[in-house]
Amino acid sequence: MQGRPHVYVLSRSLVLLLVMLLMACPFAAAQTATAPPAAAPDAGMLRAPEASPKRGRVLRWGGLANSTLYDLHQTGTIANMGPQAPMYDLLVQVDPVHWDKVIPDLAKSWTISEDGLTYTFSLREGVKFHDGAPLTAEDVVASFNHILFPPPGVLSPRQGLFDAVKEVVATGPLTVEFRLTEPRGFLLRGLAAGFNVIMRKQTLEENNYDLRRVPVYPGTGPFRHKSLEPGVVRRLERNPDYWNPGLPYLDGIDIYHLDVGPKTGAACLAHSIDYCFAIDPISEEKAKKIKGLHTARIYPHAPHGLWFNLTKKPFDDVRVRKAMNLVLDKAAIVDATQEMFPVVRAGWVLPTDPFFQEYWPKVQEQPGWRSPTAADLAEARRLMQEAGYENGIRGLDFLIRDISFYLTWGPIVQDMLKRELKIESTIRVVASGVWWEEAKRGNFDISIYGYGATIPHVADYWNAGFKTGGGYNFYGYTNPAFDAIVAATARESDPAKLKALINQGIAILEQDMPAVVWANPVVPMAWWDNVKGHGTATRGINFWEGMRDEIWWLEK
Amino acid sequence: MSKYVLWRVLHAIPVLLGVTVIIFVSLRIMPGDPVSIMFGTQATKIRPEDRAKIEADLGLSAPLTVQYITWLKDIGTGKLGKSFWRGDTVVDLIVQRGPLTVEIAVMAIILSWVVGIPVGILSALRQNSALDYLARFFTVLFLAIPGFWLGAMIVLGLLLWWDYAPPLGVINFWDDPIQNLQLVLGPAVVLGLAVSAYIARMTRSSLLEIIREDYIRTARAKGLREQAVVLKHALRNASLPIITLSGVLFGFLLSGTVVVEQAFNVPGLGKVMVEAFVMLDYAVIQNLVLLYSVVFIVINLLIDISYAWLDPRIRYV
Repeated sequence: MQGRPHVYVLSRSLVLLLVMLLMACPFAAAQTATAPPAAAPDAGMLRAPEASPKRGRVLRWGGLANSTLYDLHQTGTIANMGPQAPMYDLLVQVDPVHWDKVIPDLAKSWTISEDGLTYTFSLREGVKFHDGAPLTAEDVVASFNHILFPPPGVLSPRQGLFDAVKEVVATGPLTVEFRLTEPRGFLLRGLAAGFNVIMRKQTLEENNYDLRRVPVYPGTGPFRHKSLEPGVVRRLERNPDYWNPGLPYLDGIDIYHLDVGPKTGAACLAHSIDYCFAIDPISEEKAKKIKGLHTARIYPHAPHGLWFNLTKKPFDDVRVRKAMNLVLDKAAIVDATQEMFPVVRAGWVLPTDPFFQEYWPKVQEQPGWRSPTAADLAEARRLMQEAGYENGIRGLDFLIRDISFYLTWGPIVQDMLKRELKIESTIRVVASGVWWEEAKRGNFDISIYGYGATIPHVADYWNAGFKTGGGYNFYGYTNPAFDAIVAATARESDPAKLKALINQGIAILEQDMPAVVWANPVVPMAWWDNVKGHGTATRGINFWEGMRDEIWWLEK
Repeated sequence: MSKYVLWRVLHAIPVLLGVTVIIFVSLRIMPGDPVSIMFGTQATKIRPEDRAKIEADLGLSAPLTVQYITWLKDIGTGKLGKSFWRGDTVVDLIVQRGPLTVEIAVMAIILSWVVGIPVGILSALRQNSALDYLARFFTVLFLAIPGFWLGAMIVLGLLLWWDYAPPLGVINFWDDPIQNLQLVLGPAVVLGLAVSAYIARMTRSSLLEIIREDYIRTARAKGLREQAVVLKHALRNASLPIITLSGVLFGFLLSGTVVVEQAFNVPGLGKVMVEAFVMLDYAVIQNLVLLYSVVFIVINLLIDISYAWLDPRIRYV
């Protein structure tokens, strides 16, 4: 692969483009779906896509599942989703077979007011929590209050996603209203994010709305907790009282907590597990050659790149940032980790965003995004000279977390900057816990960084990473004009107007160059022939959803 | 004898207290922020007031002396505290995962005797022969090869050539002996081979010293068979340093499992320890390190007591 990087990158780009084209139309439909009244009555009564699914057997699921806490509302990692998502339901869900649609879940239908400020959800009758208590509107209200208005000491990573929701009210025993201050085109998609599960009001109250250290709390999901060996395996069993008759098909799921990469890959190849989440690319290649083993890749929403400390010299000077952006060969950087941790190119718009397919072809051959040409290098040197750094910069603190692919990228970036711009830095590798501490205190000059977003919408990932005071804006970027655009993208549901706003936002980011974004991770996975019924989990673009597994089944 | 044991146990108390201080202080001066690790990439979003509350919940905001005394109280009540993050009790973790680690260590030490003592005897009795050189070559080789590398090679070899990987999960011997052996055999062999090298070297040097003693010459002169001379007279006297070394190595084996369990993906205490360090889970780290210290102290006590049994001249006062 290393001998033909351009061909490789090109072929990856074409595949990506194809994926994005497939994604584009349905998402546009979802964007316009603010006005549609109710979903089809039975859309949430899922069935396996295959004609005759079989009942029984226990699925062996393996992958990243060793979480540091148990509260799904307080976490943002896949390590919680695999072992816990099957025990809970959402208010609405992403269709696990046709991942582009939001369909009913515990809400059997909903209406949206004409002004887009009131969403009224009708809950299903007869739904029971695993402890036998019936589901009521109060449980939904308590769950979303937990997310929207967490008490002190309770973290709510997706609070910003619902910033327009001023209150959630039970208007009847099985009716819930979400009242907004301004329209949100992506509200349903946000509600359908896999972490926003419905918990029992009583459970939340008994634990002061903090379930971080509560390993088992009742849900209404298709599987119930059976046993837990922390860090080893969580075993789930079929919920016989599940509200969707006949589901789940499986008798249970054993979720093995394995390290991402080779450990999961090894267990997969040896068929110690049936479904293998986040294997390494080498195991993925081997899996492709094994009869009966299938592979796929899914795309989280997670921009990665080089972040500057904008509060410090020389990075308060946009010319320095632009010069550094021009000399970094992003295609080469991305290619360097393909056999260890696969990533695809990303820019200000992420590959999972429906607008990426239009954005990327336009920019990929532009200066700063293409592999640097002689003209780009000359321009970079000119900018440095103009900023007063024609002799380069010395003694930069290059802070890197001890993550394998960051450790690979670090020296490449360091070398490119030194070679082309005489920018000399010292790489300082630190453990994750130290990195966050240092980043928060601003104890760095440059750092490789990446963060995950919940939904593929700029209003979510621009808000988190680039808006003033955004959750991941630890590096001091602020531009009121950009903030206004981010706020406008959140309100906008018309795709054409949204596109115009995104273009304005991109123009500002290009002008300000607050960071150099180059990649979005890809998660390879594999499953054995006998695993059926999986939808989003193997075909989709996101891994926050599609992990409930109620329509999965095992061929005997 | 009982007086001696009591005296040694009393001696162990200040040693253990010293250990607790060292563990506690080292963890607190270690760089890193447990709260940030708990929330991962979300950590940059934590508001100061939330952080204060979380730290208070975890007991991290209390003065260090209070934190230390609380830990001592936990030890005193036998609870050992709870994992910072998920609230799993440390006692449960030890009960659940400890048997695998102990099994690996015991199997490794037995393997080291089975391999190391005969090799050492042969090497000593055939000093400077081709057999001796061969034995010494392998001894040095197994001393030099890092356990994690050998472990990784074995795992890779089994996977690539036979599509085999050890079973997953905690499988105790009493639940399923076959599966359990598949789980622990690899780490036990890797650790056992490394330890057998030490045992072989110690057996060789110890025997070389003993077989030149007068009483061995006397035993041979009175017509005893060579087998009886070596096994009954020489080996018994040469075994004291071997026992001492085995005891010390058993302690090291327990800690050695930390790396090898990672390589073989065995969910023993070693793996718990690694994960706890990565997550800066103070409660788990400090209690496990203390547990390992207790094991070392107990082993040393047992070794001393065993001396009296092996050498009747030794008496405790």
